[in-house]
Amino acid sequence: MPSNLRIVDYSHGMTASAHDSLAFTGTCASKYPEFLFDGNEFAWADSAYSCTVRMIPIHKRPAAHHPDNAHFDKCVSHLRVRSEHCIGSLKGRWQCLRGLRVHINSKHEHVTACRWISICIILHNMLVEWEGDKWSDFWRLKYHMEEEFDPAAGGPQVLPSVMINDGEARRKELVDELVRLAN
Amino acid sequence: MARLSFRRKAIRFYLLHMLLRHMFIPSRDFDVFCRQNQLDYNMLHYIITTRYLRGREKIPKAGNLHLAWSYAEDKHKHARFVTMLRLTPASFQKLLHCIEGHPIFQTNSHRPQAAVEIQLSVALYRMGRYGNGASVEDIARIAGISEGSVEKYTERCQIAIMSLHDQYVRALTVEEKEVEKRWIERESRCPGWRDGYLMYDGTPVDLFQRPGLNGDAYYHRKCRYGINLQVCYLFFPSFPSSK
Repeated sequence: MPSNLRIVDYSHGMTASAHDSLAFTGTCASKYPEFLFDGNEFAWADSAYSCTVRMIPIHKRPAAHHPDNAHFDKCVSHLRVRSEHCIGSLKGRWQCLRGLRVHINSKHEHVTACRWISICIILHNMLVEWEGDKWSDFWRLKYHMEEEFDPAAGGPQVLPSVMINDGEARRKELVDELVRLAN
Repeated sequence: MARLSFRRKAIRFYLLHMLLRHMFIPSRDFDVFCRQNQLDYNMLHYIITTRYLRGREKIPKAGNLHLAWSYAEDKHKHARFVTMLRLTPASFQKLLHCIEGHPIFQTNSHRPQAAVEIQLSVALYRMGRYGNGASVEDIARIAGISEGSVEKYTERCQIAIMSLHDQYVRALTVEEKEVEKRWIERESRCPGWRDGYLMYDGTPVDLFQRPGLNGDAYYHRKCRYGINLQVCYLFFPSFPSSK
């Protein structure tokens, strides 16, 4: 199973005490969703994120007990396990991310720290392209660790839930689709 | 308390010395007082303007970073090169080729910069280490260069690599998206899911110590200090090497 996942978008600079869903507001997908997403496209996320049409997280606790939802979460997690592989190979290869040795005593130095992270991401993408998954797996295992969319112009048909910007309804549709196929 | 430089300490001691002298052995004669003042002034000026207060002793240096080049020559030793610099010799040459022409490596000084491959290998070596191994002193000893050079080399390489940012971190084209979606559809066996071709995840990037500025804000749920990183991935490695 290849684990050399390519990074398309990232955001850093929030301090780690920020919650994932807050830090997500700094990413391209949150600020300029039309740049990454077209039509019905969306991204998967874990339960820490809030549910929007462009961001479908797995269910939180009370809802997660429902058998349909549990099945859905299991299938999504099966796909999402690769994200841990990606972080594993990123942090395994560029170990400075395990203990970034930058003194942060001023705003300027915080930016320097963020530059270290950017460099690691650029090199990660570069090496995924040049070296393939063999070496990414090696690092992971070694340390365990656009098109403008115009609905009128005959683009893909947009679902009503996407039109009215209702994330919960969009997720429900995806659950239903899976259940329908399973039966 | 903040650490004082040798120069600051020397100035402080000298001022203390002046104060004590004025208190306990006050000069009776105005002429002597003026001469003494002039002497003190010259002394302080000398302390401030001397560039190397402590003299410059020769520091023995013996780097072993050149071993990487001998590893690169033999195909069976490539794994050693990889554990040292975190990429294969072929990728190293490619990366070198990409950043070599960057203006940051040009200088008008009569003293030329070190070769770009040495600067790059120091930067890569440093980025592949954490903890004590990543300290500037340790890297300087291993590379056989001065501590200041380690900082300079890393910074130059980082600026050069930053200029490649938009080439390697970018949104997908329509054809690339289609490949991703087909993979999702096959893997999940659910056609409605094919539009979810991205995934987001957050991870804290730990820092080696508590930051001096707003330290508490960096504290995260895994009980360490760090910076939050949000990453968006593709599921399927479908990027053709377009560059």
